[in-house]
Amino acid sequence: MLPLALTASAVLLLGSASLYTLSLQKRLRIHSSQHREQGADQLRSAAQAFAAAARGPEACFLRWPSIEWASAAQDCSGSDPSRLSGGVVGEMAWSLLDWQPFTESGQLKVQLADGRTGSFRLSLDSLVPSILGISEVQLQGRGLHLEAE
Amino acid sequence: MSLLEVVVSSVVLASSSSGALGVWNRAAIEIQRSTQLDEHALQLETARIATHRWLQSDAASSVVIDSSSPDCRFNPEALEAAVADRLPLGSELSTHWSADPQGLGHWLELSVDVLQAMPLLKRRLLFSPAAYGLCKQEELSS
Repeated sequence: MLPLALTASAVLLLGSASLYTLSLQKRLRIHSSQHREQGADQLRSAAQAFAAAARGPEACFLRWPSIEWASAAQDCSGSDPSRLSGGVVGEMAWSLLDWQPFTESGQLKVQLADGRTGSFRLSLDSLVPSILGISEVQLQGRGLHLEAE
Repeated sequence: MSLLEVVVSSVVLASSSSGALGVWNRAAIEIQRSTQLDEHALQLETARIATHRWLQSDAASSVVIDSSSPDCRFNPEALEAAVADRLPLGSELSTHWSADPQGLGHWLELSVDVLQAMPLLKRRLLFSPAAYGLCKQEELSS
């Protein structure tokens, strides 16, 4: 009888331990998902800050890829490309990695101080340099940050 | 089978059953909490997406911009009322809008008002009217 009791006890204890492990895994998955969403929110906020800065004289730069902004400054009088190149949003510093304009849209790539990177597609007005809409973020991990480390 | 074996077996089985029951109970509480957290996280995400989509719609352009301000900025009261009216927010969800100190836009803070929700679920995002083409009129007129 004792071996049977020991076997039954082991099954009960192992079963409950497995169930508890599963419940903790679910909790960890939720925390991980929350952390990812908060990072995405910071990237979304950085893109909104870019759009806020790309108004008035600085909107002129929307017509040029960011790599050409230094030379385009002559065509965009009274504007400062550094206002579009980065800043602080909330308590997180962000920087522009790349801006590529197309006919009626543009591809924006921004990076946070912690290395997280995201890209957005911005709808542009075809007549005047102006942003009309912004897409959802495409998360791209933190490759550059890890490389720097 | 001696009496001693029966007693020892009973004690072993009773102890392990009690222990397993305690662990099952904790696991059930943990699963219930996780499910609740999952539902609240989904509510926050739904509210965020709904706000983003509403600002992209034509309906937003006529009501959310502060016409008395020379800069293109949201009218916080109109924004809060419009978003609260139009979004199917759950009763446990609360929204709070605050102006960005740098004037970049307004911050939306979404949170769940449930004491049991530990840790507190919160989302915080910046929304700028310029990102939704809502400053177009102002730019054309300037």
